[in-house]
Amino acid sequence: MSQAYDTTFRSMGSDVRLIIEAPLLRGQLPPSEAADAQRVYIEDFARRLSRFRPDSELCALNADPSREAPASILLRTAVSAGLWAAQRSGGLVDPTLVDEIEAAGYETSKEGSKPVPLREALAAAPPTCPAQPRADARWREIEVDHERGTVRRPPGLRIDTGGTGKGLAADAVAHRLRGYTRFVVDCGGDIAVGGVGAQLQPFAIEVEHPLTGRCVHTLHLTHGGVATSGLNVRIWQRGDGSYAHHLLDPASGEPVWSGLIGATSLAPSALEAETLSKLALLSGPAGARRALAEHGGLIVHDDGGVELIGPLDQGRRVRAQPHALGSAA
Amino acid sequence: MVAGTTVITEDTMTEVPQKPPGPQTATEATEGSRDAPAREPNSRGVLAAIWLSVAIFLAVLALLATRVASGHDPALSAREAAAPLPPRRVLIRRIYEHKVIVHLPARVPAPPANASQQVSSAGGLEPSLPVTRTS
Repeated sequence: MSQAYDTTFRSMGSDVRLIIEAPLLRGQLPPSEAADAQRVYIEDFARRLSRFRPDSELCALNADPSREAPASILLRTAVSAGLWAAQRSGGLVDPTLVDEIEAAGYETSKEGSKPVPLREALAAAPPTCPAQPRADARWREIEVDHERGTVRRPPGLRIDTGGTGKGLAADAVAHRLRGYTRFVVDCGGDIAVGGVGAQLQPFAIEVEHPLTGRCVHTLHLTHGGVATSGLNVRIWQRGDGSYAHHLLDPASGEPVWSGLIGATSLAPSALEAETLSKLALLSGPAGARRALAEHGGLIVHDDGGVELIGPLDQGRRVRAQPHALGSAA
Repeated sequence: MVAGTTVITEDTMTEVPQKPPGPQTATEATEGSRDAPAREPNSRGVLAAIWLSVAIFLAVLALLATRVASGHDPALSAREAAAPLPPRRVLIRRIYEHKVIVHLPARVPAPPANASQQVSSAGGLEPSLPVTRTS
């Protein structure tokens, strides 16, 4: 068996895991040293783009009252990724919902806090309804100028790159590891797979059920990305007793209850997979089937049922056993 | 003085006659040679010359055979001397051989030709496998 270096560390509020096998050419860093270098990169990435660190570049941009603010190439790329996701999702994955997410109760990092049981939140949730984009589409007013090294937006419009940050980070690290035979970059479940060796020996990646925590399916990836969005993490109870989570309906600014509690998407990149998984979860079952039809994926309904979509569809729907749901939730 | 010189010259020519050998002289010489064996000294000389030639030939032959046997062929040496070969060039090449060894586990099926991703049946979580989950 070829040597693989496997390491896991905390960053971006999640577990980040790197699996790196042998380099293709002489002169490259061994996998362990490459992993150390990528860890430094990811931690720097997270520190500079954090919404919760006042000294981050993102917070400096959001605090800048001018219409046009200087931005590093990393920040410009992150904002561009957020705008790309908004375009790709028709405005459902909106990077301008900072006021709304803070109003919902997500003002500081949820790192270390225990999420409330999803089943309780589902029992108290309002009637399901797919999310809708904001009518004014404020994200269209954001411009990234790479020549001038600036970001232009209406004064006071804050930007959140967190919705696409992990996927972008996974893709960036995957690009930096392209000289290795086989690798996995897992940024909190947003995963990029690559290397020529993965074409011959695909990586097996398991999809976790948001209620049971069990594997509902195993994917074999040779390249590209896979990502999962769900309601079982970053979910809390507000002061008025209602439940909230981090996936908002842009039109209402409130947490969405679309009839789905989880969505997993395959895509050519982790950024696109993350965008499509969020789009699927926000869109509800019907919209999710459309969103995941091209590259494939699966959705988990409120009742725990798993549905395969697109290339993964084998014409069956797997329903979780009630006792399994109860024991794990 | 000139007349006197002429006389002396005439006297000299008279005292020492210069005449070719006549027939009598030739006959005398012929009669005198019949008394000793004429062919014997010549045969001995011829035999000696033959033996001497054979001996020299054999000696030279032996010398050449010895030199050829020891690797000193006079013909080859002459050719080398006439056209000396250029110094031999030695090219040193360093060959790098890269081998990528991929071990295929038996439990992971190869991807189908028309798709790079596929789904297998559900099962329990294996901690060694990457997991996509909500983050």
